[in-house]
Amino acid sequence: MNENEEKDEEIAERVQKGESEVFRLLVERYEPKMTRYARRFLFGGADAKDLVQDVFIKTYVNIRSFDVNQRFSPWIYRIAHNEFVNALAKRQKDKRNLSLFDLDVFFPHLLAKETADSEAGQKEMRAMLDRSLATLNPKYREPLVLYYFEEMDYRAIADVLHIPVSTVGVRLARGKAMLKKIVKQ
Amino acid sequence: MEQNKNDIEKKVFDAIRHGDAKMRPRWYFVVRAVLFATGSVVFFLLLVYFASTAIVTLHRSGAWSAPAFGLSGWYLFFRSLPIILIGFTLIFVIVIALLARHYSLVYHQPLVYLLLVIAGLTTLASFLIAPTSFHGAIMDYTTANLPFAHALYEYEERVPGEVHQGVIVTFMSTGFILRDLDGNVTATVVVAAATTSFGLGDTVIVFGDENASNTIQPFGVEKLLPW
Repeated sequence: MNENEEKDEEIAERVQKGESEVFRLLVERYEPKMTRYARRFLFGGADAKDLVQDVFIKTYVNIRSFDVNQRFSPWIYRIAHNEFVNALAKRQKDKRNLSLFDLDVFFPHLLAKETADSEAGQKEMRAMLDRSLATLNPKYREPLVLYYFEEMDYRAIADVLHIPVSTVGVRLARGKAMLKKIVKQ
Repeated sequence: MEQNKNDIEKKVFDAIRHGDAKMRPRWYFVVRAVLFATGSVVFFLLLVYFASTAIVTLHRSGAWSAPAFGLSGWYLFFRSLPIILIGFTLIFVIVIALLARHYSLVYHQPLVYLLLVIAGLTTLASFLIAPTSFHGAIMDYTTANLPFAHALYEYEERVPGEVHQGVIVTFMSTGFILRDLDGNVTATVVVAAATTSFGLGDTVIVFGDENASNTIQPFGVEKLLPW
């Protein structure tokens, strides 16, 4: 099989077995995604490049804890999430709602259907997000970035953020409402 | 962008080649998972220990039965709560909730469900342990060897003055005479004849103030269960 056609999980399994060189394929596949995620979640912090590098090093160091029967993408995004949240917490100005306790994850919510936005709707939302990311609370910014730019489904976002799937729906809905309000103003 | 990508890739592989980034062996994660699971079980056992100790001390103090006698009983019950034990119990509930949220089965559910499950399991386990000889044995051991730990079981200081435990030694037309568990102080308990379903030698808890003539007009009397 051509290495480019190999699934992420298969490559990860080869790395686990000692083929360190094929880790390069995972770096090549995920570097643009991680850089984009870092830039949007941290909105242009100068440390984004260093953080992405740290994400890959942590991925390599811990790759034997990855279960090859699970999806690789949410696993590496989880590592990135932890790295970026720690970086945000270090920035004095951006400690908004990164606390351990969150009412959104405390109570059950009705599970909102995953809305299949039209292509135009998605484009409009991405444009709005790009313009107003910095003004959004990180708690709402991150699921929006993962949904609209990283094109993850609710389940994958729930795995990255370690929150219930229904909470993902709630945060996306609230985030979208906040974005629209900000854009109107 | 391409330069950025090459930079990151190069730095990552430099770290790998120079040994600054070493892949952790699988056993490291296995040991970590086992330690994590063992830690969770130990914390749960400690939680059950503190919760069941709270139940035992409330029971032995007599306050456990007080809410059956209306508002005065509830007031007495709340004043008798072992605050330190309840504090420890709450701390361990939080610790276990934080540990459990490491697992996907748990973090995919709302936190309130997890807390309900922990509370349910703790209550069940505590009520199974409380009537056994476990706490009696710990109490005996701590009295002899660990006075500091024994403090957890010292319930007498928390018991409000209107709780009296004793044995019925004599029946009268107006009630009965109570001898306390040390056998040296007696009080006359005034109770309506219709409400007495007790017999001579029964150990009872009497809820009510004792006046200067050692007479109690109780708002409740309850037989003391064996544990």
